Amino acid sequence: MIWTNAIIQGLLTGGLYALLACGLSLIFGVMRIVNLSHGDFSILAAYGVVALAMHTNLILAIVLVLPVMALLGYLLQRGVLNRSLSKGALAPLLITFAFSIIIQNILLQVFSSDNRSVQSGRFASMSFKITKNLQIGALPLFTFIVGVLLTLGLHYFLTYSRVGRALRASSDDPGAADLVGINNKHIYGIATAIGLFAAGIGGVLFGMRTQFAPSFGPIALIFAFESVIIGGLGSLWGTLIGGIVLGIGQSIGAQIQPSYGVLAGHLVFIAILILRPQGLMPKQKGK
Amino acid sequence: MSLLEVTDIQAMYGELKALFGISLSINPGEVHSVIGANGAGKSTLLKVIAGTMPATSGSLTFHGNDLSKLAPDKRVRSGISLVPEGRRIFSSLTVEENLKVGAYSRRKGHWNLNNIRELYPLLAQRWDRIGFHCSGGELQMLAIGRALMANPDLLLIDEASLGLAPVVVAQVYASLPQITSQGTAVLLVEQDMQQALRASTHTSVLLEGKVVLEGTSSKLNKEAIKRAYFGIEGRA
Repeated sequence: MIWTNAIIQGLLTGGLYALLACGLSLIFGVMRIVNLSHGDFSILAAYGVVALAMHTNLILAIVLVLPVMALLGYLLQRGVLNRSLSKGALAPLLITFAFSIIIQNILLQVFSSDNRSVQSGRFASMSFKITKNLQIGALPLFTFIVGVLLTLGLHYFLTYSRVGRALRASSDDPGAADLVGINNKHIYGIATAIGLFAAGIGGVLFGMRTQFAPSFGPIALIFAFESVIIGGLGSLWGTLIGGIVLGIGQSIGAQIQPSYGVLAGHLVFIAILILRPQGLMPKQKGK
Repeated sequence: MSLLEVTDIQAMYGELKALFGISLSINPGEVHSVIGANGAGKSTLLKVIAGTMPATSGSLTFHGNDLSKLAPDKRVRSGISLVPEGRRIFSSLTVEENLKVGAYSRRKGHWNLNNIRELYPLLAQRWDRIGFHCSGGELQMLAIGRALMANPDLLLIDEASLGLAPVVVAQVYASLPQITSQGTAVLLVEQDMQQALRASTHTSVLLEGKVVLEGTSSKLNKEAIKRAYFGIEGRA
């Protein structure tokens, strides 16, 4: 029973990792940019909600912060990152590294290094009793559902919408996308807007579960990265599966010995890299 | 007024000059073929018109408006579509999705998914196949179909028959009259001289980045074309 419990809790945690990771996966998939500041944007959104929630209620704070994240993503892509794309693979990497440092230091200035959390009141401690030994927390369950819904939503957007198809076309061959009338710079802006919107959702839910400080971005980034790699680069469903595998790995590790949780997650990641370096659900050839 | 007016265009690849002052004009609904040997500048000319390569001098007007400052995606919106060398089909997208992406610019007109299916029945049979798995002929039809989905006023086709089986080439050429009957002009780059002359109303022969011969396709003298094509000096 304790193992079933560990697996279920890990599965639910996986939903959070998928949320932190799906924007990273999308940005890499479309532009081949490795966004080293992805976790910091998640933490930035969490701080944004903390600051706004002091003046208004939590729901409104979240509803206000997420579109701002999307707008920020669009502006950073069009204003900064697009200019770096023609300058090799290193330039965008360095720029997102710079974003990471800038965000961490701004947060440190404004909010100090004290730990904060996004207060969700009773919701954070609510749970459903399934059997005598198995309880499911409302927040982890909600996070998991949001993770699945966001992946599903992105899937439908990319598969069936005009802009979604343009994103995939642009990812396949930006030069040919130009020739059918697609403005790649605009499309890249949209990709990053969606990416940071998703990072924001992940960050806020992360902040409801645990305390965080300005330096937590890179930790969120590592979990996101591992989810993307375990699942297979460029595949959204893979990223969800990757997050779940990482979550289950961590919770089984923690079941063996509470301090082994994170370590066990890394070991699962390394094992996948050795045994199946293309990830569990890699993009098909030509896909 | 002609649809496209190209006047004294020059273009360079780095230090290397590729076009030495090319002029031509195209009217709505006509097929204009550009023939010439490898390296004569045919594809370069199409790239300059589509906007993927800048002209260093000369002027380009389309519907009477200056094109030179427009990015390639804006030129599609104004009505110029290029079927590029190598087709450049989106390999992870299905045939249907490639066609839908072709309509990204939302230009109104005759061409839609149904009409493309009728134009190229072969594509209808491959509807859900991804570009990566299509054959050369399917790719060429798909590339033309994708360009038509933007309902262009001017369709640029680079190397229409290169690397294709004769059956497929015949199908591609057989579709041209249906395209021009919608008022679309076609600028065709072709290595196969006979094919180009048969399909076009006007022909320009390029040699080393210059137009060395041009005229109505049916009235051009075959011997004169051969000499122009290979750059052989001699009496006319």
